[in-house]
Amino acid sequence: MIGTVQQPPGPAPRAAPPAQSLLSALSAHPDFRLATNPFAPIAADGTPEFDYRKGSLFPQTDIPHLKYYFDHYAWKDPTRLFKIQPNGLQTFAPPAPGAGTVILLSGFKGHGRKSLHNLLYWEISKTPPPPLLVEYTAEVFPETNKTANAVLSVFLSQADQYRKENFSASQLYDRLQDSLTRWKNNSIIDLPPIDLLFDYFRKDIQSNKPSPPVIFSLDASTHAFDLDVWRPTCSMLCRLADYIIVSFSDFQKASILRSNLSGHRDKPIETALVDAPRIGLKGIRDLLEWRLSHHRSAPPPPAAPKPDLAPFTEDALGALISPGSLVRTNGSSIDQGRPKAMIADTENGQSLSIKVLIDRLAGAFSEKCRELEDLLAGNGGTISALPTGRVQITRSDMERYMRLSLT
Amino acid sequence: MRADVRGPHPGLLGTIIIVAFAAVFEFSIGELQAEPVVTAPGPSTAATPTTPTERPWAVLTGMPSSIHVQTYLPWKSRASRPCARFRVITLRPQARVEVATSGLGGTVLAAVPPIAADDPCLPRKIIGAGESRKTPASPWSDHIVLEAAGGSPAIIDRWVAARIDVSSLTADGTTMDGRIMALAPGERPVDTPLKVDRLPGSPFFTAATWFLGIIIPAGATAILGYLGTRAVSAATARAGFRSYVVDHPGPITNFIRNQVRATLVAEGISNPLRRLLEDMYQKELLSKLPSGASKRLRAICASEDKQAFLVLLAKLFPEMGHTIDEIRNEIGNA
Repeated sequence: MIGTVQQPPGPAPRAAPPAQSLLSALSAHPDFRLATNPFAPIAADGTPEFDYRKGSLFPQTDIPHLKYYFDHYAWKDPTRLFKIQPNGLQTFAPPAPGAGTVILLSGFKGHGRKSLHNLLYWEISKTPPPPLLVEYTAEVFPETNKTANAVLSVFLSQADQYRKENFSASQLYDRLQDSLTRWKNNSIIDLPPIDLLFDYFRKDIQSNKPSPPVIFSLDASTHAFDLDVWRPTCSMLCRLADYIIVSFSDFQKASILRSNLSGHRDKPIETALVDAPRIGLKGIRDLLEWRLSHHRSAPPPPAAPKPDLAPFTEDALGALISPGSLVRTNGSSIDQGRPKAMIADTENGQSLSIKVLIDRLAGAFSEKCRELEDLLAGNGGTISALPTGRVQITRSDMERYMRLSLT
Repeated sequence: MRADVRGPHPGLLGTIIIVAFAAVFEFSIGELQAEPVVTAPGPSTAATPTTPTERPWAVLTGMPSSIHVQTYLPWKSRASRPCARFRVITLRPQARVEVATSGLGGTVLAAVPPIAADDPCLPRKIIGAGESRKTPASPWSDHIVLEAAGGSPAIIDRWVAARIDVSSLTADGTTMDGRIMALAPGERPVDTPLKVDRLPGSPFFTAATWFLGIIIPAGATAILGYLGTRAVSAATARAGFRSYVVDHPGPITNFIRNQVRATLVAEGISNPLRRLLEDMYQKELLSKLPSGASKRLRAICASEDKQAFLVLLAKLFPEMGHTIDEIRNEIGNA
């Protein structure tokens, strides 16, 4: 598979994940009932399955990552692109014949946009042959020809690499070079439009059996947004690529581009927009309930409140988005200097990015386990002797963790 | 004898002009206060006796022999009437004394209280001892009757105010020579002369006339010139803008078809018109607009009124009217 595959980055967690032995012991407690760490689960054979705090999900390198996707996304074109399920997307419409589809992804850093991008790539890669991925990171120029020249250079370079990695495409690169020569030579005064060359390339790719899907990946968040630049660029790439994935930080810019591409009266382009928004209280509750449900060691007691969030309490979730007068140990407010993308108001109250949310939930969980480990060490390891209520993660536990994490 | 006469008050503007010209022409403020200068004090008593030994039966005292009226500001030259007070004292008991004028035009008289008021020319209703404020009749008359108290002959000692009629003194240098007379039954008339001069206009009147004669036309010219320049400038800006629109169809078409349409129709856009205003600024479209249209556009964008924005756009770019109508329909249907 060609393309830049980024290794999962991610900082080390602030509190070390609890040991599986401790969790196994705690799983018997009615206020705990978790077989493993829901945010960094460990398989029965002791191997780590996944760690949310290590970064984005990469199903293209690790298919089991699929089951760790939490669908908090806003699918704006459900007929083309819709809903994450355990085995992938529920709806992923193929592009129209001879024309590409522009997929617009929006979301700030830490909101899950990159994980979504990886999921899309995995979806496209499901069917062999592997796609020809071109990640274009150079500038997008107002002059279309200039952009086209830059794109052409990157495309041919990736095509050459693809040929080396895929035997089935051994002649593809040569065909592309022939088309390029033919395109340059078939001119009297000036070079023909680049769109014509991309049409030649598309035919060459389609004539290669099996024909690889072509994906262009562009990051609009690093460029100034100008419809006069992006529209012709997308239009040009649609002649060559099957999918053009454009990433934005700002949802509104993505929405404007989508409106322009799909609503253009002369040449409408197929689009699909997905936004990775912040998560409010309801979403937090859903995410936690979903995550915890995968690793329950026992069903909830009959009188247990719904939803089943143990060992977390409803109060603790409230502390996540409304820390109130929480201050650091140096006296400054918890939210002082924090980027607005991490805690922001929505119509229904405050919300968090998914990264910050997972970070806090996992951190508070680890901190509580550490505290329980100390208690158990003191009482000789008797689970039943743990004081009532000490197993739960309360509001003050959450606030204490948040305070500690900021010092 | 100095006359107890006050000229008309110059008002605030008049005072400012007076002070300004005092600084320019080095006249003292006192001289500018338009206190008419009495140049010829005359005898306060009248009635030349027929024989050196005959004693007059009354005296008229306190009246100057001449009053000067001077124009110092154009709007203060004719409106007012100089006023003077004098005293009628009978030297022997009389039942009644009539006081009248002669040769003084419409000069009117009124009996006034003996109180030494600052202004001898009291308001319309003169309140005498025992009189009510509700006295309906005006006290000014061309001749008045002073009666002794109780109706029996007695010494009459009354103050009289005279409002001098200068309306006949229309030109500088004219003079009015008259007399104020006191008449009693069986007695010879006692009179005192009064001369009223209209002096030539004060230097400040001349200067004020010159000043206004220059400043008003200059001001009018400046205002008309300014308005004319503005009108020409606006017309030039409009013509320049039209020329730009005709010469640059590409950027304008792109902006309206792509940017305007997409921004107004797209989902979830906050403050779309402010975004478009920023786009217009970045594409240097704002700088091409006439200033009036630019101001209106900014106001509409601040209020986020999409329909008003499209109406203005249609006015500025009538060539794109069809596209703008399509956008309006799309927004209406959204």
